[in-house]
Amino acid sequence: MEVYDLSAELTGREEFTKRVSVYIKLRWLLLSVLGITGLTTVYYNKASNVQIETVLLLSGIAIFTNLLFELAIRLEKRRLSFNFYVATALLIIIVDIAIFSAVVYSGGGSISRAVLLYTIPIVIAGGLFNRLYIYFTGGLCVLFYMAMLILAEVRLTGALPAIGLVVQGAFYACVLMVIAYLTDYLYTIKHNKEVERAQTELVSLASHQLRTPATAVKGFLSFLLDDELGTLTPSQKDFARQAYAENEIQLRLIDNILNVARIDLQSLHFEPRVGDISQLAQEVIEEHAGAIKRRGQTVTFHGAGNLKAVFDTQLLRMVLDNLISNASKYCGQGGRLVVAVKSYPKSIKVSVEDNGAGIAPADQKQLFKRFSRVGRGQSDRTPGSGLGLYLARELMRLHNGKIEVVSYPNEGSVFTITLPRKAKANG
Amino acid sequence: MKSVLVVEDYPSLQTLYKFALQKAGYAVDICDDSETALRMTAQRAYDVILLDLLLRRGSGLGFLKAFKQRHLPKASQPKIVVISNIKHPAVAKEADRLGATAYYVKSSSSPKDIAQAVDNATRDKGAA
Repeated sequence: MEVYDLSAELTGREEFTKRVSVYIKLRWLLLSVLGITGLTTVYYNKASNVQIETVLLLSGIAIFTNLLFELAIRLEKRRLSFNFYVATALLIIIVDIAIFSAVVYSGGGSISRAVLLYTIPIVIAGGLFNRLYIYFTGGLCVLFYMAMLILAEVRLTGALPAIGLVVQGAFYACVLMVIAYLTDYLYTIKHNKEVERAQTELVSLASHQLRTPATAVKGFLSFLLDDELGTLTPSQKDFARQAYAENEIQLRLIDNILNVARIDLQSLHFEPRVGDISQLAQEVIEEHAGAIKRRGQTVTFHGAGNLKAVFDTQLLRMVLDNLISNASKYCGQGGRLVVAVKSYPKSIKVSVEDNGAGIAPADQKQLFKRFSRVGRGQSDRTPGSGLGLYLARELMRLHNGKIEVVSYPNEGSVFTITLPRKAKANG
Repeated sequence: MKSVLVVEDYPSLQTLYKFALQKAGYAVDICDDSETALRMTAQRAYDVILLDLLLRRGSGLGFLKAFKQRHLPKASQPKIVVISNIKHPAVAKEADRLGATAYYVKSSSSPKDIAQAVDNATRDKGAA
């Protein structure tokens, strides 16, 4: 599987010219089928209105025009004039409508089932152009059909069509416009999906491009901190450590932005499997041990070992990572963190408690909103994007679980995530 | 001295991985696209290939596909350690299917971690 290979993507113009060429090739097939059908009708159904001259004439016009288009496209390929392709495509559609009108006319006017042939140019217009052209083509089909209807009636009876025939014609005209509407509807769905896919790819690519230089910074700092290039003075080391911590925040922020975008686009990869949630919680605590120690804080873990639940490890790690990182950030120097995993008959709960400044009741409702930056004691001095808790809530929803907070100002906060036991695992 | 080919297109990361690997005692060659990597691996038998996935020209997965088609005998196959900032499990699975030994996310692995991964890979190669 090739991913992010954007060079392989066709640009809009190239895609259009490619589609016009495909349309011309498909036309050869369509014209052959129509010609054979016409000749077969003339040969086997002597009572039909179709005449051999008409079939030959229409086939001749169709073959001639397609040859012209094919030749023109081949000659034009050298210059690739986009307007030329647009004009050619429109001309082909108009010629096709005229040919199909002639087929309907020779096949019995309004009573001909060949009227459904008009669907073809409408669908083609949808594939090549935007919605305006779909309705333009639909309208053109109706106009040609009406003109053909009047001509056929005048030829047969010498008079204008009777009211019954007009109603019948109007019915077919409505059918054609409904077909135009459906074509527009289906192409709009397809287009929206393409736009979504393009957005997802763009977000992934942008996030990757942002992450790469940040990763390099982290690498260089790690060598400085490990004294690989000579011993740093304590203050140099302190600055390097702070730069390293900022870099970690930057990387987490990039991840959060990417994942929020993925949630919005419903393109987040979700693969729940049976796993040990206690072990996961302890791993995340371990990852934060350095930062917790630097802030002079303590962390306690309570929980039974090997507590199985169904979750996506990567996503739940992200939730716990955000909660533990927040708890450490907001409970200040010398604070106390408690992480507990508890098992209940229908669910498993993981709580992250801190004895920080707490959150005012009015602010608690705002906490899980996107870009929420509510007052949390030192929050004015604490970096954050306002995306972490929003992301945590969305990720818990994805697990059919939830996240809650209980907090009292000047006492601390407890964030609890609940995972249902009856979840379906993949693999 | 064991040899490593680093296929990475970001200059700073080239510097970091080269520094870490040379410090760990490896002979290091560097290239920044999959085509050159294929040419270099045809000319020299490396012990480990450290492979980025998103390259300026070609891709790491494209390299893995082409390399797999060489059908080298197991004993002379280098270990391929993928390093990428793509965290998508499907991409990791695909790399694994195409013959990668290990998959590391660059943003959560220091150059030292990567050198350790190369150590592990060469140890596996020795055991195999």
